[in-house]
Amino acid sequence: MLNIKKKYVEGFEGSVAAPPRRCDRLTFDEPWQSRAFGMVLALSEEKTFEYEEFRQSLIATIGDWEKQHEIADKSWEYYEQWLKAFERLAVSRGFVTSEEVDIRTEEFLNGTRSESF
Amino acid sequence: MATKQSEEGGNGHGHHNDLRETESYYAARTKALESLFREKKLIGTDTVDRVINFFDHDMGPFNGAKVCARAWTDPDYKKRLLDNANAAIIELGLRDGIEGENLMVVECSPKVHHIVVCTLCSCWPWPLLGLPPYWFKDPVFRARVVREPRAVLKDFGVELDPSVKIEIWDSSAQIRYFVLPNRPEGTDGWDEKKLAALISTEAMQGLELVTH
Repeated sequence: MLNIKKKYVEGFEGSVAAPPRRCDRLTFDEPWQSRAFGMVLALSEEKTFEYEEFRQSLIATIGDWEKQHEIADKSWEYYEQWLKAFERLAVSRGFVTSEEVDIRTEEFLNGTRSESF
Repeated sequence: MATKQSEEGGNGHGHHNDLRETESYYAARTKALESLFREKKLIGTDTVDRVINFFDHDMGPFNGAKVCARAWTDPDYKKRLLDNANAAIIELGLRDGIEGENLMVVECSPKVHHIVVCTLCSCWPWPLLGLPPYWFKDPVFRARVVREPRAVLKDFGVELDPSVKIEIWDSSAQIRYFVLPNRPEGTDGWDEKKLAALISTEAMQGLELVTH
Protein backbone atom coordinates (compact mmCIF):
# COMPACT_ATOMS: atom_id res chain seq x y z
CA MET A 1 0.00 0.00 0.00
CA LEU A 2 1.98 2.91 -1.31
CA ASN A 3 0.65 6.30 -0.52
CA ILE A 4 3.42 8.34 -2.01
CA LYS A 5 2.73 11.84 -3.14
CA LYS A 6 4.19 11.60 -6.64
CA LYS A 7 4.21 15.31 -7.18
CA TYR A 8 6.09 15.92 -4.01
CA VAL A 9 8.71 13.33 -4.69
CA GLU A 10 9.35 14.14 -8.35
CA GLY A 11 11.06 17.40 -7.48
CA PHE A 12 13.93 15.44 -5.96
CA GLU A 13 14.66 13.24 -8.95
CA GLY A 14 18.30 13.25 -9.93
CA SER A 15 19.54 14.30 -6.53
CA VAL A 16 22.64 12.28 -5.73
CA ALA A 17 23.13 13.54 -2.21
CA ALA A 18 23.34 10.76 0.30
CA PRO A 19 21.17 10.79 3.38
CA PRO A 20 22.88 11.68 6.61
CA ARG A 21 24.28 8.93 8.77
CA ARG A 22 22.45 7.90 11.81
CA CYS A 23 22.98 10.26 14.63
CA ASP A 24 23.10 9.43 18.25
CA ARG A 25 19.89 9.81 20.16
CA LEU A 26 20.52 13.45 21.01
CA THR A 27 17.25 14.96 20.13
CA PHE A 28 17.93 18.67 20.36
CA ASP A 29 21.08 20.42 19.28
CA GLU A 30 20.31 23.59 21.20
CA PRO A 31 18.11 24.42 24.17
CA TRP A 32 15.78 26.73 22.21
CA GLN A 33 14.79 23.79 20.04
CA SER A 34 13.36 21.93 22.98
CA ARG A 35 11.49 25.07 24.11
CA ALA A 36 10.00 25.51 20.63
CA PHE A 37 9.07 21.85 20.56
CA GLY A 38 7.61 21.92 24.06
CA MET A 39 5.53 25.03 23.38
CA VAL A 40 3.78 23.48 20.40
CA LEU A 41 3.00 20.30 22.30
CA ALA A 42 1.89 22.14 25.40
CA LEU A 43 -0.47 24.34 23.39
CA SER A 44 -1.83 21.30 21.57
CA GLU A 45 -2.39 19.47 24.84
CA GLU A 46 -4.23 22.50 26.19
CA LYS A 47 -6.25 22.66 22.97
CA THR A 48 -5.20 26.23 22.28
CA PHE A 49 -4.89 24.83 18.80
CA GLU A 50 -5.23 21.36 17.37
CA TYR A 51 -2.01 19.50 16.69
CA GLU A 52 -3.31 18.90 13.17
CA GLU A 53 -3.35 22.67 12.55
CA PHE A 54 0.29 22.78 13.49
CA ARG A 55 1.08 19.79 11.34
CA GLN A 56 -0.47 21.50 8.32
CA SER A 57 1.54 24.61 9.06
CA LEU A 58 4.70 22.50 9.30
CA ILE A 59 3.99 20.80 6.00
CA ALA A 60 3.45 24.18 4.32
CA THR A 61 6.57 25.66 5.91
CA ILE A 62 8.78 22.73 4.92
CA GLY A 63 7.21 22.80 1.46
CA ASP A 64 8.21 26.47 1.11
CA TRP A 65 11.75 25.68 2.21
CA GLU A 66 12.01 22.89 -0.32
CA LYS A 67 10.84 25.19 -3.12
CA GLN A 68 13.47 27.75 -2.24
CA HIS A 69 16.42 25.47 -1.59
CA GLU A 70 18.35 22.64 -3.10
CA ILE A 71 17.38 19.45 -1.40
CA ALA A 72 20.83 18.90 0.10
CA ASP A 73 21.22 22.53 1.21
CA LYS A 74 23.22 22.51 4.41
CA SER A 75 21.14 25.31 5.89
CA TRP A 76 18.37 22.77 6.56
CA GLU A 77 17.57 22.79 10.23
CA TYR A 78 14.43 21.01 11.26
CA TYR A 79 13.62 23.06 14.33
CA GLU A 80 13.96 26.32 12.42
CA GLN A 81 11.13 25.05 10.25
CA TRP A 82 9.30 23.99 13.37
CA LEU A 83 9.63 27.44 14.91
CA LYS A 84 8.53 29.16 11.69
CA ALA A 85 5.55 26.84 11.40
CA PHE A 86 4.59 27.63 14.99
CA GLU A 87 4.92 31.37 14.47
CA ARG A 88 2.97 31.16 11.22
CA LEU A 89 0.13 29.38 12.98
CA ALA A 90 0.25 31.72 16.00
CA VAL A 91 -0.02 34.74 13.71
CA SER A 92 -2.72 33.28 11.47
CA ARG A 93 -4.79 32.37 14.52
CA GLY A 94 -4.36 35.87 15.89
CA PHE A 95 -2.54 34.86 19.10
CA VAL A 96 0.35 37.17 18.31
CA THR A 97 1.29 39.58 15.54
CA SER A 98 4.53 39.39 13.56
CA GLU A 99 5.34 42.92 14.74
CA GLU A 100 5.06 41.89 18.39
CA VAL A 101 7.32 38.92 17.81
CA ASP A 102 9.83 41.04 15.87
CA ILE A 103 9.95 43.68 18.59
CA ARG A 104 10.29 41.19 21.41
CA THR A 105 12.94 39.20 19.56
CA GLU A 106 14.90 42.41 19.10
CA GLU A 107 14.55 43.17 22.82
CA PHE A 108 16.00 39.79 23.70
CA LEU A 109 18.77 40.17 21.15
CA ASN A 110 19.85 43.64 22.28
CA GLY A 111 19.51 42.80 25.94
CA THR A 112 16.76 45.30 26.81
CA ARG A 113 14.61 42.39 27.94
CA SER A 114 15.75 39.45 29.92
CA GLU A 115 13.55 36.61 30.99
CA SER A 116 14.66 33.10 31.34
CA PHE A 117 12.51 30.06 30.99
CA MET B 1 26.50 20.28 12.96
CA ALA B 2 27.43 21.87 9.65
CA THR B 3 27.59 25.62 9.27
CA LYS B 4 24.36 27.12 8.24
CA GLN B 5 22.79 30.33 7.23
CA SER B 6 19.50 31.58 8.37
CA GLU B 7 16.94 32.99 6.01
CA GLU B 8 14.68 35.08 8.06
CA GLY B 9 12.16 36.39 5.61
CA GLY B 10 11.25 40.01 5.97
CA ASN B 11 11.91 40.68 9.60
CA GLY B 12 14.68 43.14 8.96
CA HIS B 13 17.56 41.24 10.51
CA GLY B 14 19.32 40.33 7.29
CA HIS B 15 21.57 37.33 7.09
CA HIS B 16 23.50 35.90 9.95
CA ASN B 17 26.38 33.93 8.60
CA ASP B 18 28.00 33.33 11.91
CA LEU B 19 26.75 30.16 13.51
CA ARG B 20 26.68 31.54 17.03
CA GLU B 21 24.75 34.58 15.88
CA THR B 22 22.22 32.44 14.04
CA GLU B 23 21.63 30.35 17.10
CA SER B 24 21.03 33.32 19.29
CA TYR B 25 18.58 34.74 16.76
CA TYR B 26 16.43 31.61 16.86
CA ALA B 27 16.82 31.36 20.61
CA ALA B 28 15.63 34.96 20.95
CA ARG B 29 12.70 34.39 18.63
CA THR B 30 11.67 31.30 20.58
CA LYS B 31 11.90 33.27 23.81
CA ALA B 32 9.90 36.10 22.28
CA LEU B 33 7.09 33.70 21.40
CA GLU B 34 7.09 32.03 24.79
CA SER B 35 7.22 35.39 26.53
CA LEU B 36 4.21 36.66 24.52
CA PHE B 37 2.22 33.49 25.07
CA ARG B 38 2.84 33.71 28.80
CA GLU B 39 1.98 37.39 28.92
CA LYS B 40 -1.30 36.70 27.13
CA LYS B 41 -1.98 33.82 29.52
CA LEU B 42 -2.13 31.40 26.60
CA ILE B 43 0.38 29.07 28.22
CA GLY B 44 1.02 28.16 31.85
CA THR B 45 4.40 28.88 33.41
CA ASP B 46 5.39 25.26 33.89
CA THR B 47 3.54 23.66 31.00
CA VAL B 48 6.44 23.61 28.59
CA ASP B 49 8.75 22.13 31.21
CA ARG B 50 6.20 19.46 31.98
CA VAL B 51 5.91 18.49 28.32
CA ILE B 52 9.66 18.36 27.76
CA ASN B 53 10.10 16.33 30.90
CA PHE B 54 7.46 13.88 29.79
CA PHE B 55 9.16 13.34 26.44
CA ASP B 56 12.55 12.99 28.07
CA HIS B 57 11.50 10.40 30.61
CA ASP B 58 8.33 8.65 29.56
CA MET B 59 8.57 8.41 25.82
CA GLY B 60 11.39 6.82 23.98
CA PRO B 61 12.43 3.89 21.85
CA PHE B 62 12.43 1.73 25.00
CA ASN B 63 8.63 1.74 24.74
CA GLY B 64 8.64 0.47 21.17
CA ALA B 65 11.25 -2.14 22.03
CA LYS B 66 9.08 -3.40 24.87
CA VAL B 67 6.14 -3.79 22.48
CA CYS B 68 8.25 -5.70 19.92
CA ALA B 69 9.76 -8.01 22.53
CA ARG B 70 6.31 -8.84 23.86
CA ALA B 71 5.06 -9.55 20.34
CA TRP B 72 8.01 -11.86 19.72
CA THR B 73 7.38 -13.87 22.86
CA ASP B 74 3.57 -13.87 22.99
CA PRO B 75 1.77 -14.85 19.74
CA ASP B 76 -1.62 -13.79 21.08
CA TYR B 77 -0.28 -10.39 21.98
CA LYS B 78 1.22 -10.10 18.52
CA LYS B 79 -2.14 -10.80 16.96
CA ARG B 80 -3.78 -8.11 19.09
CA LEU B 81 -0.98 -5.72 18.22
CA LEU B 82 -1.42 -6.25 14.49
CA ASP B 83 -5.20 -5.96 14.84
CA ASN B 84 -5.33 -2.86 16.97
CA ALA B 85 -1.99 -1.37 17.88
CA ASN B 86 -3.35 1.42 20.05
CA ALA B 87 -5.26 -0.97 22.28
CA ALA B 88 -2.28 -3.34 22.49
CA ILE B 89 -0.01 -0.50 23.56
CA ILE B 90 -2.36 0.67 26.29
CA GLU B 91 -2.45 -2.94 27.45
CA LEU B 92 1.26 -2.65 28.27
CA GLY B 93 0.61 0.46 30.31
CA LEU B 94 1.95 2.77 27.62
CA ARG B 95 0.12 5.86 26.66
CA ASP B 96 -0.88 6.76 23.14
CA GLY B 97 -1.94 10.40 23.00
CA ILE B 98 -0.45 13.13 20.93
CA GLU B 99 1.02 11.96 17.66
CA GLY B 100 0.37 8.40 18.65
CA GLU B 101 -3.14 8.26 17.26
CA ASN B 102 -3.89 5.47 14.83
CA LEU B 103 -0.77 3.45 15.05
CA MET B 104 -0.41 0.58 12.65
CA VAL B 105 2.16 -2.13 13.08
CA VAL B 106 3.62 -3.79 9.99
CA GLU B 107 5.35 -7.09 10.57
CA CYS B 108 8.53 -8.03 8.73
CA SER B 109 8.97 -11.58 7.51
CA PRO B 110 11.85 -13.36 5.80
CA LYS B 111 10.17 -12.47 2.48
CA VAL B 112 8.99 -8.90 3.08
CA HIS B 113 10.82 -5.99 4.62
CA HIS B 114 9.01 -2.83 5.70
CA ILE B 115 10.34 0.72 5.84
CA VAL B 116 8.50 3.73 7.25
CA VAL B 117 8.87 7.28 6.02
CA CYS B 118 6.80 10.43 6.13
CA THR B 119 7.12 12.11 2.76
CA LEU B 120 5.06 15.13 3.78
CA CYS B 121 6.67 16.21 7.00
CA SER B 122 7.85 14.01 9.82
CA CYS B 123 4.96 12.07 11.29
CA TRP B 124 6.37 9.70 13.80
CA PRO B 125 4.97 7.39 16.50
CA TRP B 126 6.23 9.47 19.40
CA PRO B 127 4.83 7.47 22.29
CA LEU B 128 6.67 4.40 21.05
CA LEU B 129 9.87 5.93 19.77
CA GLY B 130 10.26 9.29 21.51
CA LEU B 131 11.46 12.18 19.42
CA PRO B 132 12.34 11.48 15.81
CA PRO B 133 16.05 11.16 15.05
CA TYR B 134 17.68 13.58 12.66
CA TRP B 135 17.72 11.29 9.64
CA PHE B 136 13.96 10.79 9.65
CA LYS B 137 13.35 14.51 9.30
CA ASP B 138 15.96 15.10 6.61
CA PRO B 139 14.55 16.07 3.20
CA VAL B 140 17.16 13.99 1.35
CA PHE B 141 16.31 10.89 3.33
CA ARG B 142 12.58 11.41 2.92
CA ALA B 143 12.88 11.72 -0.84
CA ARG B 144 15.50 9.09 -1.41
CA VAL B 145 14.08 6.26 0.64
CA VAL B 146 11.07 6.21 -1.65
CA ARG B 147 13.13 6.27 -4.84
CA GLU B 148 15.92 3.89 -3.94
CA PRO B 149 15.18 2.08 -0.70
CA ARG B 150 17.88 -0.54 -1.23
CA ALA B 151 20.58 2.09 -1.60
CA VAL B 152 19.37 3.86 1.52
CA LEU B 153 19.32 0.58 3.42
CA LYS B 154 22.88 -0.02 2.33
CA ASP B 155 23.87 3.35 3.78
CA PHE B 156 22.37 2.16 7.04
CA GLY B 157 24.42 -1.02 6.78
CA VAL B 158 21.59 -3.31 5.70
CA GLU B 159 21.88 -5.52 2.66
CA LEU B 160 18.80 -7.53 1.92
CA ASP B 161 18.66 -10.52 -0.34
CA PRO B 162 17.33 -9.37 -3.74
CA SER B 163 14.41 -11.77 -3.32
CA VAL B 164 13.15 -9.88 -0.26
CA LYS B 165 10.36 -7.52 -1.20
CA ILE B 166 10.52 -4.02 0.24
CA GLU B 167 7.37 -2.16 1.18
CA ILE B 168 7.42 1.54 1.97
CA TRP B 169 4.83 2.93 4.36
CA ASP B 170 4.11 6.61 4.27
CA SER B 171 3.10 7.85 7.71
CA SER B 172 0.58 10.64 7.89
CA ALA B 173 -1.65 12.34 10.42
CA GLN B 174 -4.13 9.54 9.86
CA ILE B 175 -1.79 6.59 10.36
CA ARG B 176 1.62 6.31 11.97
CA TYR B 177 3.39 3.15 10.96
CA PHE B 178 5.67 1.14 13.12
CA VAL B 179 7.79 -1.85 12.08
CA LEU B 180 7.86 -5.11 13.98
CA PRO B 181 11.26 -6.46 12.91
CA ASN B 182 12.22 -10.09 12.49
CA ARG B 183 13.32 -11.76 15.69
CA PRO B 184 16.98 -12.67 15.33
CA GLU B 185 17.98 -16.30 15.17
CA GLY B 186 19.52 -17.88 18.21
CA THR B 187 17.42 -16.01 20.75
CA ASP B 188 15.17 -18.88 21.75
CA GLY B 189 14.31 -18.78 25.40
CA TRP B 190 15.40 -15.16 25.85
CA ASP B 191 13.17 -13.10 28.08
CA GLU B 192 11.49 -9.90 26.97
CA LYS B 193 13.94 -7.62 28.67
CA LYS B 194 16.93 -9.21 27.02
CA LEU B 195 15.21 -9.16 23.64
CA ALA B 196 14.09 -5.53 24.00
CA ALA B 197 17.68 -4.45 24.53
CA LEU B 198 18.52 -5.61 20.99
CA ILE B 199 15.94 -3.42 19.29
CA SER B 200 16.89 0.02 18.01
CA THR B 201 14.81 2.95 16.79
CA GLU B 202 16.12 2.28 13.29
CA ALA B 203 14.96 -1.34 13.43
CA MET B 204 11.47 -0.17 14.35
CA GLN B 205 11.42 2.02 11.26
CA GLY B 206 12.86 -0.68 9.02
CA LEU B 207 16.34 0.71 8.60
CA GLU B 208 18.20 -1.87 10.59
CA LEU B 209 17.93 -5.60 11.17
CA VAL B 210 17.89 -6.83 14.74
CA THR B 211 20.96 -8.91 15.48
CA HIS B 212 22.76 -10.09 18.53
